[in-house]
Amino acid sequence: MTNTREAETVRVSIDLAVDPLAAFVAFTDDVDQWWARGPKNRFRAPWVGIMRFKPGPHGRLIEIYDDETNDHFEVGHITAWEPGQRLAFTWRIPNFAPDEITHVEIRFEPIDSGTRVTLEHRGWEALCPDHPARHGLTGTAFRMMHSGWWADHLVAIRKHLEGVEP
Amino acid sequence: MPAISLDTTLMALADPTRRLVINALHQQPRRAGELVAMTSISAPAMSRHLKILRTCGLIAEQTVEHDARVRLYHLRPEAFVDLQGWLDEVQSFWADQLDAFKVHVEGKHK
Amino acid sequence: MTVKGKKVGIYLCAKGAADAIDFYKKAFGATETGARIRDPQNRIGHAEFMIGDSLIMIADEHPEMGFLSPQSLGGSPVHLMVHVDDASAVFAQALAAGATSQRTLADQFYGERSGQLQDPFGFVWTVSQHIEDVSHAEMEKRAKALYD
Repeated sequence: MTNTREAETVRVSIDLAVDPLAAFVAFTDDVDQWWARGPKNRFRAPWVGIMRFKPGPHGRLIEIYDDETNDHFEVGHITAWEPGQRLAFTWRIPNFAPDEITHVEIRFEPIDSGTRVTLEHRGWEALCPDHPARHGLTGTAFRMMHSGWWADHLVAIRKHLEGVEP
Repeated sequence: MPAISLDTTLMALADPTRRLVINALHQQPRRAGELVAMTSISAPAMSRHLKILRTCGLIAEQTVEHDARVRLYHLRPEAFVDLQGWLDEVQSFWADQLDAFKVHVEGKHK
Repeated sequence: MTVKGKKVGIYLCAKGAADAIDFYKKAFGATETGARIRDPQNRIGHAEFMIGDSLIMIADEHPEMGFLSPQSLGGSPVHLMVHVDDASAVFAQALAAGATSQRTLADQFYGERSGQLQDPFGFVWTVSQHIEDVSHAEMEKRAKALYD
């Protein structure tokens, strides 16, 4: 029997036709180009900010709404930045309480046809069963729903790369 | 920029175009256009290589004072410190081995 | 009554869905379209690929849900049919990828060149190529000659 932590760990993978460094750069540097817009995908109204990974000692993943006024939402801070191998960051959305946090980790692994990108999103067990971020779902049902959300994002990266000149 | 692992540095340097860029930037900071002209690499391909080198922390970009649109790329020497350290280690290992080999060979011919 | 459906989809259950996708790439030139969703045991819960214009979905076995592959069930009563431009080439390619021939490729009286093979995951495929427009009368004549 799997426990809640395991049951709610999202794991989605996709094979990309580029090498691991190029896959890492597409994930990070091009994030705003492939990350779909709209309320389902973005963090705050008007749902059309600029997504950006800011590497550095205080590296973060943010959505910027207005550069001039520094209006932005911080999704999380970068906990691993290993180009071509691994990327990890903490994850919270606006309806998380300050002490609520989840973790995203992405691994880039060379395969014959390019790179296998495997994304894991863990730590959902820290959120109570009626947390708004769950949309009424727990356990496997929650994992399936959230896996589909990440799957769409990973497919968007592949489409983005197909549009980039080889 | 977080500390960059040796693996990442070596992956970034495993491509001949990116090594050309490193050589060119070793002389002085340059614009992407200059690098394209120097290497006969297409502009989109160059842009991709520059992104990779920047993401890996081997180069950084800065804007110049009189024109915010101009981006100048330069080397980040700190990114090469680990690589140098590793090469030094390997080098000292081989120096010891070669000394031992010398003693061995000279012993035989006595 | 008329069922107001839109489309019929194909959902395969395979023992080793990842290997199966690799096989369909080699045998039938499949291209993977979706991402692979994995469960806590790292089993593929959902993946998608295209063969030609057709979308096929696939997952690993989930015995606890009664989701079993032909290998566990002792065969599949459903056959898949793939229409191609060059049946000889595709048939040879599928055999090279690890399929076994069940009915050798031959010209059929109804104007198709087709053959049947079983893939390593227990699914049976008919590879078929249209080679000739056969009129109804001609088809009747040929069938009579063949079966009478």
